[in-house]
Amino acid sequence: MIKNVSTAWTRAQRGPVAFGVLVLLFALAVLLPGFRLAGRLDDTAAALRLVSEQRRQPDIVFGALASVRDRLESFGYVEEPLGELRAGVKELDGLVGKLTADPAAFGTFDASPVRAVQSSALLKVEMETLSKSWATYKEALAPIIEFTGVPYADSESSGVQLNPAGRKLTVEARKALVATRKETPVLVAATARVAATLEADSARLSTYLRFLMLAALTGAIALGVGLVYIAVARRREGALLVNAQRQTADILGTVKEGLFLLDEKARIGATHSASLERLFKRSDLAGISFEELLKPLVPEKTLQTAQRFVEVLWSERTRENLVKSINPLQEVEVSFDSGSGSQETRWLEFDFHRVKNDSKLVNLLVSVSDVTPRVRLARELAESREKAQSQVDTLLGVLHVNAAQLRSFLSDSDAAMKMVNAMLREPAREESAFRRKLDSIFRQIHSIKGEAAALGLGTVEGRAHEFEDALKELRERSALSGGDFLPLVVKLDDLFTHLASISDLVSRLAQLNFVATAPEAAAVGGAEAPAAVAPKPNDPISETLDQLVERVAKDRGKSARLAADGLGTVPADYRRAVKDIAVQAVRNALVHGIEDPEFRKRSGKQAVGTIKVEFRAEGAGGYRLIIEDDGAGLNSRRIREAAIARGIVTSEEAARLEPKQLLSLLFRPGFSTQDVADEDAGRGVGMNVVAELVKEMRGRIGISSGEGRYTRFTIVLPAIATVAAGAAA
Amino acid sequence: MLNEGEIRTFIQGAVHYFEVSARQPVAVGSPYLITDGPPSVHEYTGVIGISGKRKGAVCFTAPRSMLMVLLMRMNETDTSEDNMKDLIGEVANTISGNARRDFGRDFVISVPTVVASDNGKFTPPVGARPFIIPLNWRSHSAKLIVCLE
Repeated sequence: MIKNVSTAWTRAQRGPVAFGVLVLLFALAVLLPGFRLAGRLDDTAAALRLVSEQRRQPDIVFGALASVRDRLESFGYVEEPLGELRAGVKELDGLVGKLTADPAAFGTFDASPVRAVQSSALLKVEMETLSKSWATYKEALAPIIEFTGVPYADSESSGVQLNPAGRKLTVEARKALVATRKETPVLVAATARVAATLEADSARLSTYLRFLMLAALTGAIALGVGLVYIAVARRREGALLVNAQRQTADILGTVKEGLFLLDEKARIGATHSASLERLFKRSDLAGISFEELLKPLVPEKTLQTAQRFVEVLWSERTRENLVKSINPLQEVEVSFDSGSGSQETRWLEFDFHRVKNDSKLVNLLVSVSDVTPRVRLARELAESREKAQSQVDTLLGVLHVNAAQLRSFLSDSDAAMKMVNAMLREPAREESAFRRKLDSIFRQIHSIKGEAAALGLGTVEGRAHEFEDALKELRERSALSGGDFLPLVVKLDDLFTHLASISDLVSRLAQLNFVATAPEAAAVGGAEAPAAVAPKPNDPISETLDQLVERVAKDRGKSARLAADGLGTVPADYRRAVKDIAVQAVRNALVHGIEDPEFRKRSGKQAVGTIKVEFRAEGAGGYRLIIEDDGAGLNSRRIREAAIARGIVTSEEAARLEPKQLLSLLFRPGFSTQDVADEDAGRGVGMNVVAELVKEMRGRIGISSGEGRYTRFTIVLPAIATVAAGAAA
Repeated sequence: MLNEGEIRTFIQGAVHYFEVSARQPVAVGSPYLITDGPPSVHEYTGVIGISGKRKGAVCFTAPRSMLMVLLMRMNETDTSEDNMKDLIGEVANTISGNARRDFGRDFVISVPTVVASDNGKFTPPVGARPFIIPLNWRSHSAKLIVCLE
């Protein structure tokens, strides 16, 4: 575009110059010969006028000579014819002198008869003849012309007589007459020929001049036509140029992209698209540097990279496409003050093109586009893709879970999390208050984790596990402040969000009757697992435990079955606590109690271990929960060692402990016989949580174990009214 | 998901203000979430709008009594409504300045606006669960509300 305009300018300038040269050449071609021709014509005309004027002179001279003789013979007055003779001779002398003089004696602009003669070979010859004839003529006349005095002598005696001089003159006159009679026709003829030649020359020159004038006229007409053509062409080009400029202005005014040129010093050119001002929200763009343009908008590092990039683009050795692939300004985030205090974020895309003129790099054309909608859309797309993927993961995670169990879990977890939040919210300024908060939160989260594990909700279990990690880390700190709880709140928020998404999914699946059919599929899929052989449980707690047994057994390479009884009769007020206790105890039984199948066979046991969970009502409105496994039983030595290793008791204290006291260590916070904590065990909180829960319900807990044979937990719970009364008290 | 570091930056802004301007540190209470409904605010609230990487708002809200003491501590005898607003705006400014410094260009942070109301509720501009960080100063308690998604 820019290149076209410059070409148009060149063409517009070239026309008049060429025309000027043509006019000059025309002037030289016409005027110079014309000047010369006019000069020659003037010379010829002057010569012709001279010759024509003197053409009769030979006859006049001859007549005067004859008259001299006649007067002498009749003693007449000779002075008159002598005067005529002298005058004639003088005229002819002048004629010959003028036609044979030195041409240099005449100025350039004077008419010079001799130049007319000199320019013609024929005239030169004729003039030579004329000169010679005249010389002869003149020679014959010389004695007569030179005569002075009186030719007569008047005496009384003889009257008027020729005196001697008169006689001599008479003789000379007669001789001259003889001579001139022969020479006069020659002279006349010579003069006539000169005149004729001059006339012919004059006519020829006139013809030349006419032709020249005709040619000049033709040339002038041609030049006139040329001038008109150029004027029209210039006008057309001017119109084209104006049109091109208007189109350029239209393009620059309408195009959405910000377009501008960068010169070698990285300065913005005088012309740019209107959008550029809108994109950068400033109007002082012409002439400012690229750095000034970007500095208020991008970080220093991006600015420096962009400047280096532009320098590389100016280096013609590098390939444009290659350089463009490393464009650091492909998607630049810029912020503008929107004027009302808030900031407006936009994304701009810069594109660079080399502008060459005659294969020399003259500018960089930079186009800037606002790609905000595209970037936003891409981000939204990525977010929604991520969300969709996470929903699919969640979906896959919940598909195998019974709908009723899942709803129960979600409701329990929501209550637990709200409880955690309430605990966090409780004002606390002292260390002990913070620690109490930690303990309470721990129990809630552990319960969520336990049930999530039982249901095989890995994503929830994982989050709860991380939550526990954070809690554990806080517990180990020597001093606590409110700010330390921030990570817990962040995790709580995440857990809330995650469970809300599951809840949302469950509601939507329920509409499709999807989740309700899932357990059957799961049961068929898990047909090889021993638990699947047992009659299908029909209450949510049994189902939860069943899944827990199946999953943990599989994870640990063990075989076990759940024998649940009476769990469908758990009163609603105890349901949550019984479920939490059972989940913890069954998991402990699987992890610590049930041996691996090979070991069991060698010990004479059935390869498949059995975990019994029994709930039944007892007299006086109380209840009994028994969890028993036929595993390895409790190992006093290992309990003692673990308690010492975890700093719960000293080795001296441990040595003094009686078997019953030793078993009570299981319920102390931090106790675990597993060296490395995983999601199922090892953190030393499980049995402590059980103990706390039992305590909250004002119940009792008992353990009995036969080494190598069984472990039994017996939990006795009071009637509901008793608990309520206890709580009220 | 909002990360801990981001929230800490806002907390630090407030803590910094009390350390420097009031020359008496503020104790950060244990934070919690608002799970239902909009969070309640004290009489004076400074709101900072956030856009960019995260969207939403951060508020510093304090009761009149606390601002009064704060003003007195700063040897300011004029406890007019305008001065209270100026003070809360200044705290919000410190918080936003701190955030600007820490977050760089990722966050676009607006100039704070100050709202005065009696026992009002702050309606968050986004659906995220608001984080409440109690800021205990002497016997008074202010709150930092971080609601970003």
